[in-house]
Amino acid sequence: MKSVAGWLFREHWLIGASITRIMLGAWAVYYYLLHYPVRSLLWGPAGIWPYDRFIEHLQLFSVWQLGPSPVLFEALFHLGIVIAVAYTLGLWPRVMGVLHWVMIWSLGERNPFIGDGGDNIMRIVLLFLILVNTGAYFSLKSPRPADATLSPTTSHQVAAVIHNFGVLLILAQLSMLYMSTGLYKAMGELWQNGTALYYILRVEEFSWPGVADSAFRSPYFVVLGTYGTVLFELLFFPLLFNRWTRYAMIVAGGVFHLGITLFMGLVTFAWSMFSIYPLLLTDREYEGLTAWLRRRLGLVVFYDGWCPLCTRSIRWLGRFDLLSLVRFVSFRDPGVVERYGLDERGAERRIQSVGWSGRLHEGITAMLDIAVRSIPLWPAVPVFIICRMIAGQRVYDAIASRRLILVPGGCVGHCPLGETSDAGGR
Amino acid sequence: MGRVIVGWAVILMMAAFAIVYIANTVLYLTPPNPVKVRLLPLVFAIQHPLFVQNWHLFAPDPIRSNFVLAVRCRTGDRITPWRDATKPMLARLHQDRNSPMSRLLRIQQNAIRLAFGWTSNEWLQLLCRREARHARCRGEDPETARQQEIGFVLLRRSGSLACDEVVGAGRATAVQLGVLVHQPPPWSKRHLPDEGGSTRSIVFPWMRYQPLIAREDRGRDADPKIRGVTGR
Repeated sequence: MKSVAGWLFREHWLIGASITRIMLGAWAVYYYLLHYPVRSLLWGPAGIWPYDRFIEHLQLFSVWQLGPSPVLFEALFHLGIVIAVAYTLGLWPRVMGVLHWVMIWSLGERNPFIGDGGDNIMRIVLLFLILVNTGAYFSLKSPRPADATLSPTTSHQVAAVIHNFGVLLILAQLSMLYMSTGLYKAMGELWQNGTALYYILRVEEFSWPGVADSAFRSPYFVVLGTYGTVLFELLFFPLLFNRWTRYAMIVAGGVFHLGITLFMGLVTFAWSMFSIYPLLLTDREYEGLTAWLRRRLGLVVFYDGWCPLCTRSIRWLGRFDLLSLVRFVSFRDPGVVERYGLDERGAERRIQSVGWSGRLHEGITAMLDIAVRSIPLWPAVPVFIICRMIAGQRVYDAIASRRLILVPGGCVGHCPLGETSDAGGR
Repeated sequence: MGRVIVGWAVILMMAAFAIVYIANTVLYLTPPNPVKVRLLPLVFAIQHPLFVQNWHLFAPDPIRSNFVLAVRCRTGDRITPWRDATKPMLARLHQDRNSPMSRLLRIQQNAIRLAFGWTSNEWLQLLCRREARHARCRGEDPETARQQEIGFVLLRRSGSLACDEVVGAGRATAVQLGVLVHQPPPWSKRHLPDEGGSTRSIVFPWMRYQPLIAREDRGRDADPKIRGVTGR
């Protein structure tokens, strides 16, 4: 009992909740902008669903019920975009969480004829996300004000309990979704005889002309896709309880929804479904994953610390290593050559890098290793590849061999720099 | 001590909420069954409107027909020829998955389903299996009438918008709509092209033209995205 409470008093799924927030926020920004040119038609007071009808059929509330004025409509629509952007960025996550749900709910109420299952699950998830701390990661949040009435630990505990239950409710909701649709499919004749996918893909609204044609004529594709869908949906919930089958379900869900997007063209549906998936991994799993990726992608680079051009270039390159994956070490530093077992003459000739595999790369290949790991340098990656294909190490060597080497204790401060450009690296 | 009590109180409150919500949602999502029959008003009272949900998603019977909306317009004594208001939108959707056509198409597709009085109501299916002659099963009940009326509001406005394209904004006096229901060939004839299926058509009576989109938005008629709605 105590351990359950202890577990609930700490916030779990903080990383996943933040990713979910970003994905659902980005969904809304995309949705608003995609329909920007047709907004009056879809939601406007004189659009396809006239204002008086909308008021008559209102279920709960909608911000658009404030009035039929086109100016008000425009103001609220743009306000919705601003809120969606702020929510995505994680500004005042709690407040924006409520406001964003209000705006998305309002949109659905204003025009109930364009929604789908993706919109439906998103409305419910956004509502539960109000309980959840979605601003712990990747956010420009404002600091949370301390609660004066309760001691900070109590309010933090209460918030943690609510947060954890919020996430559990979302996961339960997702499981009920798959279970429900899986059971209904299992009851349908076409799903039973394995041809449902054929009939769906032949409906033009849910097809991919040119590609789907050959797919839906293949009995193997159709039967596998039909049964696979039912099996995935029914097994999703039970298989969440084991770690490895849960990973398998995440991958299967990815393939499943990607397939739906490609073949049936339901882009926003897959997007809102995927947005819930980050909550299927715990914070510890994310941390383990990043640590593993860091180990796999980590790189040690050996440069010449006696060469001003090299030192300057390295400092410049280091600024682009936003993910801190690259460690730059001067092979001239005492003990480095011995510790890493370097060939000193080779290291003198070219910059060298050692990755996870332990294989030594040098010159242009080492530069490529650095560029691949530095996001701002990604545009340069093809340049390095082409350069290496055409000239091999020659360009690099031409620059490196002309560099100036200053033995420490020589000139300091007013040394002439090499005539070559920065692109040479070492 | 006080801290522990507050913590446990919140845990119990949230747990109670979660249990009620999950149990209710499970019941809400099940097909008609005796427990659901007994608790139906409560189940719906908890679920509506905040947590309304429907996960049929092509189940149990997937959609297997194409609905094509055809429009013709009357201006004074002239009647335009029929034109297809669905195919051009589909073409744009297939050309660019990132187009608003996906949602715009749903308006007319849903409007057609509503106007036909179609429903996925499982209780109704149960009723009609037993009493096929019941007023609800023949579409002669107020609920179906209400649904059809909504469908016709949407169809009439879609048609009017289409006529703005055909004869110019505000120039039409009446709109007529027809629906082609096309069923692609069955699995056994899967190698046939789409035309190999069966087609039937329904023509609705003439409806009065109804201008839509606020007057200040008229200038936007030139916008290709809006124009696409009506199928040019």
